[in-house]
Amino acid sequence: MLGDIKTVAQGTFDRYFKMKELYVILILCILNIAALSRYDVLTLNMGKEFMIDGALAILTVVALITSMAVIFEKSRELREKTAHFIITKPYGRSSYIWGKFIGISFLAIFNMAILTAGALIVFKLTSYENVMANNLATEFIYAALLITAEAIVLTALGLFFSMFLSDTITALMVLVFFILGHSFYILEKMSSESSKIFGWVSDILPNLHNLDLKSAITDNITITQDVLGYGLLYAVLYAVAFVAASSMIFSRKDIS
Amino acid sequence: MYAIETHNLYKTFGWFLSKRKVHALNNLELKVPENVIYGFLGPNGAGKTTTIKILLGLVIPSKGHSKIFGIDTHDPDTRNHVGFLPENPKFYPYLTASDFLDFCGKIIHMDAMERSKRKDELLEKVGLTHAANQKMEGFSRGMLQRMGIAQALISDPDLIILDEPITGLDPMGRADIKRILLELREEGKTIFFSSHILSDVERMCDMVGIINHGQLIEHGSLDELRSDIGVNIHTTGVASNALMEGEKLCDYITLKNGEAIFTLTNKSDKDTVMKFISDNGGSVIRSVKLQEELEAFFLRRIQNDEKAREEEVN
Ligand SMILES: Nc1ncnc2c1ncn2[C@@H]1O[C@H](COP(=O)(O)OP(=O)(O)OP(=O)(O)O)[C@@H](O)[C@H]1O
Ligand SMILES: [Mg+2]
Repeated sequence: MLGDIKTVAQGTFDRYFKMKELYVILILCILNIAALSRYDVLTLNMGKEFMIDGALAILTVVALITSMAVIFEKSRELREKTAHFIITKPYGRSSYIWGKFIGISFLAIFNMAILTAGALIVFKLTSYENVMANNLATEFIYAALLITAEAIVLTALGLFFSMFLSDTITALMVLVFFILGHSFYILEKMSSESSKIFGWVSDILPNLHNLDLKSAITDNITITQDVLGYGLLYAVLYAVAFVAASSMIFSRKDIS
Repeated sequence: MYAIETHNLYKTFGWFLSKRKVHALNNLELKVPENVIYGFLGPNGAGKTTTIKILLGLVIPSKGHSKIFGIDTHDPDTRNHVGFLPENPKFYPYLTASDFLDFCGKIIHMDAMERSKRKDELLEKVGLTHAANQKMEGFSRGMLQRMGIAQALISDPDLIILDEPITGLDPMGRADIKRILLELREEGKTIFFSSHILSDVERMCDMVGIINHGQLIEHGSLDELRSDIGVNIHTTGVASNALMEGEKLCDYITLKNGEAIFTLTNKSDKDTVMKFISDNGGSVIRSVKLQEELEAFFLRRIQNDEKAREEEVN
């Protein structure tokens, strides 16, 4: 089964890897980050912060779009019956869901790596010397890692919703959870010693605040490896749980 | 042992409490012997695709059993012996024919050597060797359908299930598919396919089953099913001036290659015609049974079934 998952994941990743459009988009995003360097005057000499913030925002949007790819890809493959060869094989349905998830996750990692490298080069070229000082490069990479983790969480969530809902509704739900996910930590604040329930609810919903450090780095608050580690662990556990649930549901579903 | 066997099979679509339930299969009893080409016929919405999906584990039956080579289809390993061509497949448009078969080979755990050998064999078999390195997005319907057969055959299955393999193909394309299926039967495989194109089914199937409203209403070999509608008696030596007279006794007479062929429907009296032939100095070379066309049989059976259902309701 692991071999099958790898085959499906690789097929999924390869398809995007070979797409010219993907590179056009990534290059445009990097140019966009570079363009942010022109705002020093407009932002009253906060150009550097603005650029970092903007770069992270662009990474987040690309992460969101990447994670939505899984929804449309799965439903198209079922509609066009491309997936039938795999899903009629023994244990093929689980392999298919895990393979799609891993393939898209790798795509997210790939996109984030390119954009992060691009952003760091842009920072350097636009000669904000201090960008490279104060461990900013390291922290930027930390933040990018957490955004990647966010993409992985959203991919798992999208797969899960797509078990019950149509593509468009699923995509909308992912968008809604993406927006709300950053606010669910409020619930956590509401939880007290006596009722931890709000904390759990916010972790299930998901709690994307765990993965949200954009403000931290622009404000020069140091991101510790603990925070990073906790965020990544949360994301991986969350995604695994939701993909496992999706795979179980998908294995028992009528394919029409 | 049967290649395919279903017993008491039901499938109802729709939510538990929903009012708009669709009874796609209603006590379907299907038996497909080994090493035959079996045509699974039925009007739109009769439940053909649903049956096929149940056999492949894509749809879970509401009630009943289905077996492949004697093993219940609950067991996912049954699918190791089955090749499947879905209805209207598209396949990965961005892959080449050769890459796609390679992908399929990987899924069934073939090693690289085996895959490359099998790939070439299959492309040759379905006549797509020339298009091996072409992307499938440029494939015609006929080519796609042949690719579909190639992928179904990758694991060298004993049973091949095809959903509408010839629908939408031009006569050449249909002939190609027919040739491939006949070859497969020669190799000892069982072929089960659904179709609407009755004239093709007629020429290639050993057996047919007709499904209507999720029930098998007829099955058997074509010879058993179709009723005789008459006979052609080939003769020589009948005096030509007697032929006018003879035509009154049968449906009509055709002259061909020096033979006079007397075509009789069931209404004509065969004995009188035979006597007439010998009285006029002719001799019978052979007589050929005329059977109704499958299409006529199909329509008759479906109409009868509909009528019976109406009466049952009233
Ligand atoms: N997923 C589904 N949900 C609800 N109803 C369905 C579903 N799949 C099939 N049906 C219904 O079940 C019945 C049988 O459909 P099926 O696709 O098996 O017919 P078919 O014989 O293959 O028809 P066709 O010749 O048009 O392909 C139809 O009435 C169809 O509307
Ligand atoms: Mg159908």
